Amino acid sequence: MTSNLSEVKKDKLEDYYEMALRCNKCGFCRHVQPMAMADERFWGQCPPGQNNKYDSYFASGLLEISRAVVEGNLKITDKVLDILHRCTTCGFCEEFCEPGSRLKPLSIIMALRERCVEEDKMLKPHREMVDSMIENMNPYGRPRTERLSFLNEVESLSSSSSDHLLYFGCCSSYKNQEIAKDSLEILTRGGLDISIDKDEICCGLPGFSIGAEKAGLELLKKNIDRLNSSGVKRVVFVDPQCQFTFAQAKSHGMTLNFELQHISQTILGLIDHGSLTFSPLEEKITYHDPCYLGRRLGIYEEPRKVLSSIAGVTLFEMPRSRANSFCCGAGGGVSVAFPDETALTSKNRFEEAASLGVKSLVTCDPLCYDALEKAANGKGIEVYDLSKFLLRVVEER
Amino acid sequence: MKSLADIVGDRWVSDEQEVLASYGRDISTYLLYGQPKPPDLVILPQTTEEISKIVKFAKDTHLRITIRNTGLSLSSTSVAGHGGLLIDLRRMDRVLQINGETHTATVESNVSLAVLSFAMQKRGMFIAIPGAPSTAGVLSNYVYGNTNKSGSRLDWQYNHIIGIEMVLPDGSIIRTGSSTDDSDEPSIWGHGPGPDLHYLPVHAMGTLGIVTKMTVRGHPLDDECKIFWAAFDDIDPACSAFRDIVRRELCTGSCVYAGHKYTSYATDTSEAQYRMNRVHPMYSIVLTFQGTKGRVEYEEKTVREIVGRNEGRVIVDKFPPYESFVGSHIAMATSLYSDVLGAIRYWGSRGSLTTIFAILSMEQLAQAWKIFTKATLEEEYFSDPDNLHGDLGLGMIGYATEGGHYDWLELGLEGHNLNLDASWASVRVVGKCVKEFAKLGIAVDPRRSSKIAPGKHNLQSGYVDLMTTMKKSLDPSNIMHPGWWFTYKG
Repeated sequence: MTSNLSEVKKDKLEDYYEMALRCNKCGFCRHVQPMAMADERFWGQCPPGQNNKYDSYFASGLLEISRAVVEGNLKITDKVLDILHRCTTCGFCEEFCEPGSRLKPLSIIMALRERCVEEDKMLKPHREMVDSMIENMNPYGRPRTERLSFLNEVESLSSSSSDHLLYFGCCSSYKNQEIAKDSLEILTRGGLDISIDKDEICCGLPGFSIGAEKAGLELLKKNIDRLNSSGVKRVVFVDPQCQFTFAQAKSHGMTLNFELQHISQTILGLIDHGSLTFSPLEEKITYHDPCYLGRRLGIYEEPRKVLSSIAGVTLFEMPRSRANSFCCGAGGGVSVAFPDETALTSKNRFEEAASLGVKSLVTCDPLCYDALEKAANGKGIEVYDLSKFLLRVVEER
Repeated sequence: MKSLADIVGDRWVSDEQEVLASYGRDISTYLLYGQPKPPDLVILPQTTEEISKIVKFAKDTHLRITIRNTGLSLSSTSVAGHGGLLIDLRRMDRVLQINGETHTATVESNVSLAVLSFAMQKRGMFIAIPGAPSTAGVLSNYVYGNTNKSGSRLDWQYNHIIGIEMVLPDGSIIRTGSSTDDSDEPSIWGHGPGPDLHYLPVHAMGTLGIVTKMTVRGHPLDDECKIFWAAFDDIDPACSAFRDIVRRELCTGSCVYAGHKYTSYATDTSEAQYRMNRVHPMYSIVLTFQGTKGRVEYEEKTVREIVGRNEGRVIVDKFPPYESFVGSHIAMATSLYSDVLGAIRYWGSRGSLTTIFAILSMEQLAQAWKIFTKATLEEEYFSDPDNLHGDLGLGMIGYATEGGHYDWLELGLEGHNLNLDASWASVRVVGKCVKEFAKLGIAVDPRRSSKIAPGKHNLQSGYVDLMTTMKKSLDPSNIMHPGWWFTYKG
């Protein structure tokens, strides 16, 4: 399956009404596609459905809720918000339902989220998150002075001559700064001349993902206006969720004057060019496909090629991988509003990795790293962001 | 609510309308555009004992019960038409044991065909696959699935059941066959120690109790498997060749196709189906050769001779674009296990407008097809060529069963069509066929795709009488899935 979901959601909830009716409850959105099944213990998909079991939490159930809302038979209550916002927007449902049955469950879910915001119905943590996006230009309620506090001496975008820009995203700028630091270091060790933007602001994804499209669009537009006028030719993303947001710009009528590239792709380019080389490492590892990098952007192979380029590393695939990958549980605003829900999902994913008997679990999305690292706490498997893993073995030039 | 929460815990029972809203529909056509029918309560038990307590409570309080397993019912058996309590079996999803020596597996209610099939294959076995999506439940399809996808070698799905555990409408728990043996290594005495009640829930549509566990028979993987497909210019030679093959006890999977049965399942859009219908052979037989290498060679040689005698054309090697179609045939028609998981990919598509199921003699197959064709073309809606267009076709499939003496027949109007007028027209066709078939002594299976709207059905009165008598005896309060047609009051 090579389709990607880079353009999710186009219409209002009412526009999806007929589509919602057509869901025949076949259940293919709830499980790994049968032909890709590798272990019957890890067959489930749809994190909120797996955790909460009631039909309502699966995509097919949310379609029925959407239908009832459009028909006026169900008001948007706190319970609707509770069910709706446990969806991590992992996109598994749409990945297979769209080509198979021409239905777009995630698009309908996103349209319902927007309807909720239009009616000013939001979960308190989400409301605070959006307020912070507007006020602090990040979703975490953190002052901007904290951003990249480890990088006080670097040049700002305006003073850099490089036409490559490293876009960190808020998660690594504020929560997991080590990832930002490692990302910059591995690219620099590969000899890449890349600038950063000291005034980088939130891409808008947290707003889009919970239905607050207006707030998301405002930030996305600011980002694109700044970058378009900067003359940068390529933006390299640490966080695939930010890249996905930029990739949607066209569908919102915006033009990008620069290319988008995930850091795993940039690193692979440096390896192919011979600029990055690694010393051997005898280690069994596995790789977690971030939903936004994989299903949304269609980038599955580059991180694997990077990891496989290290002599001695044995890469084991998890039973749910690539398009059938299982979410870490953190996306879609879930880790903000329902941290316990995220913990359940990431525990499930971590157990899947543990079933392989590997020593390390590598991913390349700061939010996934955060969730999986918490799940791994003291359980014998190290969780790495891709850059950090590479820094263990990168050779001096 | 409190009494039920005491049984399963607060988390697993709900009367919230937001939760109930998701339980109001299944694939039934009349519910597609009609109002959903949610239950008043939904509960998710995890054990047989919990279900027993729930049923006793429901009986005492006269609360009507509907069961939902994987929720893929085609005929609203998992929709609470009368409100009441819906028992969702999703939390009962364990494979309890697989025994490689006795070739058996014991599963809870919610284990899917894909999970058990995969688990058995890993251990060198396969299970009979009914014509259902891989996401459907093993248990509900073995007791309720009425199609014989296994050919004459494996026969009906329910003959593979060797033990059940079931909660009756008074809350008592019964175990039959192997399930009476609670040792670590259960026996495979399917019909013992008696009385043999393991047919009790079969085709009762959840009206006589709730099956919570089932032990089913598996089969060792064959040395070799091969698909075979031949086309014919008319229905009569196709059926003739089919009879000849079956009566010689050739081929594990064996079926005859007419029209466009299942082209909708093998395609992902109306347009793709339209293209496939244009080139798809009108009459064909699809077979699997399975067994030792020598057996497979013998079957293929003999079948090729039979096809030649009936002026058929071997096409299995000539349609490379139709891999998915061949795969669907393999999965749905023949029980071949090697590719089965992938092949049923598109079953989830909306395929049939409506379907007739019947059992008849081998000699009546061609005649049944002609009756169905005539009834369809005489129906006013379909007599307009614009309405019987490219992505909506007539289709028939016949499977050999009962040692090859009979055929299990499916007739249907097939397509991705979502037109409600077409759906109602197809229902009228079914009604007409039921009457015509009855004149020939062909028994139309009443169990599936028969419920077309509240208060309307194509069920034979004899079936309703029998079920009502049994139900009054076992469920005098009429709490257990009353459905639409058992109208007596408890």
